[in-house]
Amino acid sequence: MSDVTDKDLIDAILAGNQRAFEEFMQRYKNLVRHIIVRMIANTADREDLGQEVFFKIYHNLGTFRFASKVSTWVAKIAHNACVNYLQKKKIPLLENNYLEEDKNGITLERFRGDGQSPLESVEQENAAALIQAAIEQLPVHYRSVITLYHLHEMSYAEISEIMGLPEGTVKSYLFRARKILRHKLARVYAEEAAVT
Amino acid sequence: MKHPSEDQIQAYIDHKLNPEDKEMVRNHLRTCPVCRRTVRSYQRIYEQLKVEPNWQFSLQFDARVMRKISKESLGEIYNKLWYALLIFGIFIAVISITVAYTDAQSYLNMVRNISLPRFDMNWDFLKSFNFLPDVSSLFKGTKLNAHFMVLCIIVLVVIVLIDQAIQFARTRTHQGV
Ligand SMILES: [Zn+2]
Repeated sequence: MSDVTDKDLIDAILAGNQRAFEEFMQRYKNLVRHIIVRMIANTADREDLGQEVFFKIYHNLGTFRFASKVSTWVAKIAHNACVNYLQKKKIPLLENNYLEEDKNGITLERFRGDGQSPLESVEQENAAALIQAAIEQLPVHYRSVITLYHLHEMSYAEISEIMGLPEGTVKSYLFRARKILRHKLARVYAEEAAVT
Repeated sequence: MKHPSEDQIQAYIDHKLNPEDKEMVRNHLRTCPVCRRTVRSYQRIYEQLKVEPNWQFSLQFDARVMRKISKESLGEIYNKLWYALLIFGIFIAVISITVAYTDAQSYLNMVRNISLPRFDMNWDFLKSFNFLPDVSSLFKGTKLNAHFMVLCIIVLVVIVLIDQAIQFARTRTHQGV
């Protein structure tokens, strides 16, 4: 069924074909999952949010006018559901996801290995884990931008539509997010910090 | 030696620099180990940003969504049934009123003292089309009668028509013609 276009699929769903919606869900499940995982820390609530998102998609499919890509539209619904959830829980969208610098320092310490020179002790694997951990500590909006840009290769224009933010803001979040990640990494790679 | 800014280095890796700046950064990188290291660490970050989060929805996720959706569409069927029932009721009311006053002439005579020009419809001519089976004879001796059967069929047709109309209206609003 992979050669069926999104348009055909949506027409089939609107005509009452539930199988078609299962196929639609397969196509966009990863996109929705990535958005939710990166925005919502509570794993128990991710499942419910995912269901809510697909339920909303099913309900609003009739209002979709193909003015944008289906992926943009789906991502927007997922993003909005997450933003609503976070606002209800009073979780800020633009603050760092950790409380104090100290706590952050401890997290980084964990990856520093056992007393050898930092560069050698931090293996490739550890560096990967460090970056993933650092991503989790970014502000919610930064995480959304890097997910949509790097994981789904979306343009600034698409991300701006999904998040309801100006393109310039999207761009500055993206550059700032990567800069933060690099500087966190540099703190572990002491050698790099020394040179700069 | 002036190093390019971090933003420029990121844009360089993103392939988002204009040709001149790109050339400038490239030339600089040839001679500057510091910036080469910066580029490398950014590349490592870019690689990690391409790694999918490994958390997954539960195995029952699809089934749960589909169940929720079918329940919802069942709700729609109930809605339609409710509509059909309503129309059915109105239909019955109209029929019974008409049956009570089939003879419009005498009805009008009675309430308003109006007399209309008389014209008698005689349905006997239908009997000359003898290709139709005599349905009423089939029900002789049973409690069912032909009129009741015809009424049922009419009601069924009306329900189907209403259902179709609702479905049509639904797809029209969906496609926003
Ligand atoms: Zn340099």
